[in-house]
Amino acid sequence: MKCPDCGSENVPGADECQECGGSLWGLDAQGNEVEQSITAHPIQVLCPREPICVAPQTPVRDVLAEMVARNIGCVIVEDSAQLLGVFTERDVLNKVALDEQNLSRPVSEFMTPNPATATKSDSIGYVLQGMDLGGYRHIPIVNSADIVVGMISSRDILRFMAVKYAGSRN
Amino acid sequence: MFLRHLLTTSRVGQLGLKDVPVVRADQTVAAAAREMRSHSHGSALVCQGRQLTGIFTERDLLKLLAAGKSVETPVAEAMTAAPRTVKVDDSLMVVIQLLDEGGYRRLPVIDAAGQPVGIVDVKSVVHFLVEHFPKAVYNQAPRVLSRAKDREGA
Repeated sequence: MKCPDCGSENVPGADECQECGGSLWGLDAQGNEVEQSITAHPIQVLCPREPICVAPQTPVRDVLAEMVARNIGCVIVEDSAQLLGVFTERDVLNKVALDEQNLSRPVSEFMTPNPATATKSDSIGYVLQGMDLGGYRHIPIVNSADIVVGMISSRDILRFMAVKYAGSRN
Repeated sequence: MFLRHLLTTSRVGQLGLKDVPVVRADQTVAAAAREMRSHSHGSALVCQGRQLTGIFTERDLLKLLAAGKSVETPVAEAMTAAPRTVKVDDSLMVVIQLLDEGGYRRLPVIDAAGQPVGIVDVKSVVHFLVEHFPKAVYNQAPRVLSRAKDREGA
């Protein structure tokens, strides 16, 4: 917790700054407001976008065209509404890029299978934790039947916190 | 506002900038992709000498492949030239505004001498927030995100 007067770092919950003695009263409570908010709000409030889904046998070339046309970095690979995997820009870099023959092969060969998922009632904090720990930029949102109903990105969460609690657009 | 105060007083240099690959514009896209893979990072700074001339990202790679172009293409033809940059002493609020309203995914970071020192992206800002709101983030149910399951009986 940083002192607003001198900028020194203090332990969370401290009443006064150990460096300059200035009052830190209330700062922690304000921090708690954000913490309580991202714990209390389900990911649903961020209005997850409609997922873009492709079949596992779709050639990588066609999937790339779709990702460019829709300006997205991640597609869902599913078969009869069952989630099989996600295919992301990182998969393009790590698995596809160096052999042009790969463009004709099915996307299922290069997807990341069994991706981490969340439900729309999971809290924002929970999804944020999963993204940070797993290093994911996108999390598919599934319903109780494990059918993908949305997609949330780390940018969506960042925007929510910055606009709502930091007035970043003011 | 607590978060506003945190973001306006914290500097880009506090994010712990990652060691990112640096390539030349006359190298091939394939060479840049290999560098990015070995750094486990989705972008590379393109430099001439010590000056930044562009940024090449996995998005640029995707667009190149989607356009049917070869990975032997020089980076110069696929990169974003003269990218928007931030300085190490810019505030995180500036970064967030660029990531949100500017539509940028990544921003090269330059030092006072104008030389590139790293890249800041959504992931690094998210990590910063997680570190500052550990109670909200880590007092979650003790499980990682669930995984897509094999359909039973299928």
